[in-house]
Amino acid sequence: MSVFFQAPTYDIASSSITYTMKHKLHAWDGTSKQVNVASKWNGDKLEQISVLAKVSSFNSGLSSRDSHMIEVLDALTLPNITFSSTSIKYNGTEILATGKLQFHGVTKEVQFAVKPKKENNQWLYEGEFPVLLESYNVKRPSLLFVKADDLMKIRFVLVFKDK
Amino acid sequence: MYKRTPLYKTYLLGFLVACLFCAKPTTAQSDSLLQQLISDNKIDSSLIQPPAKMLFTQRALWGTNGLLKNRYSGNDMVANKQKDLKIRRTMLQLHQIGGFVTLGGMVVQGIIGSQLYKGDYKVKDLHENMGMAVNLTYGFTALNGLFAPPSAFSRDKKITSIRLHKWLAVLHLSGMIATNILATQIEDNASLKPIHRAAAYVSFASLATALIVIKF
Repeated sequence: MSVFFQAPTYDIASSSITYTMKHKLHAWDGTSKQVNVASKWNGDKLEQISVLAKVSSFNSGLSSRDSHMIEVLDALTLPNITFSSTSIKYNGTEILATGKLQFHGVTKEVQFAVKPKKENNQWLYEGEFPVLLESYNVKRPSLLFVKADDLMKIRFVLVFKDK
Repeated sequence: MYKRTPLYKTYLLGFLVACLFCAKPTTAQSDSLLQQLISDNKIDSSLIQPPAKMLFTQRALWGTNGLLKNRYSGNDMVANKQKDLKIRRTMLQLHQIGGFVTLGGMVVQGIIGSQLYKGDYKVKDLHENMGMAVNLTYGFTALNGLFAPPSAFSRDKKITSIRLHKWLAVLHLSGMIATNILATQIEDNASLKPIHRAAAYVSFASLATALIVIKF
């Protein structure tokens, strides 16, 4: 590690967060490519990170469905989904991230594994974790009077470029 | 008169100050990182304006210059938009119920119609009454779909299930109009019966498909 090591810069254009939801009739994804990140580095190691994505930035490919999500997530008054790390532990090839997830105005501690991957001059941080909608006081969206599953999977890819 | 602070209070204060200084700095630091990202806006103003694209029926009611432009007395744009979205949800749920009831009515009407087609004229009145009922539920369903407040977005570029649903609506609406016009002319011209039946089948098939595509 160089003494003059400069922290990698976040590449918003290559980063994304995707949710996956299931319903008795089908499953769907919604992706946000407007993921804002603030990070703190210790050398080439990520020390702290905060992530923010607007609910309205998630696109499932169906405006009507996204509009329904705006409604169930009260995105007019609770527009942001945020994550703030409280602990980042390097464990061999993986990182164990712990932090506070604020979703639908409810804050809960979450913990998940992150896989860092070096590709050319950039670092990809990939991971996923589950979210139970009702534990965040979200009324599950329904189609044809059948509610979607409570479990929503969140997958993320955050890309940082070496300076 | 000077009153001396009890010793245990001094220790307690000292302990609390020590706790503050010894607390893990990560929480405060990560909160400050997050604050860098959060703008001052507590609401998502991008969602308040009506979408650029909407059906002409929706624009006529809910557009900036629509018939219901003065629907709310208050100036709370967020609360007003929330009300619009709630109305939209209710109307779309009624649209779903109406769609299923209409489809069920069409099945029954198809059975009655086939008996009439075979020469069982006892069911003629029933067929006409059933036709009226199907028209009413169809009209109710169509009104709830066409005049619901617009969604928060209009950003679909590809062929989506909703777009297919709308294209199929044009087909079953045309079929319904044709079926009804032909029904009034059958008494004078019996040769129109097969065309009436074909129009009814097209209406049924396209309505059923419109319901199925929604699931994708």
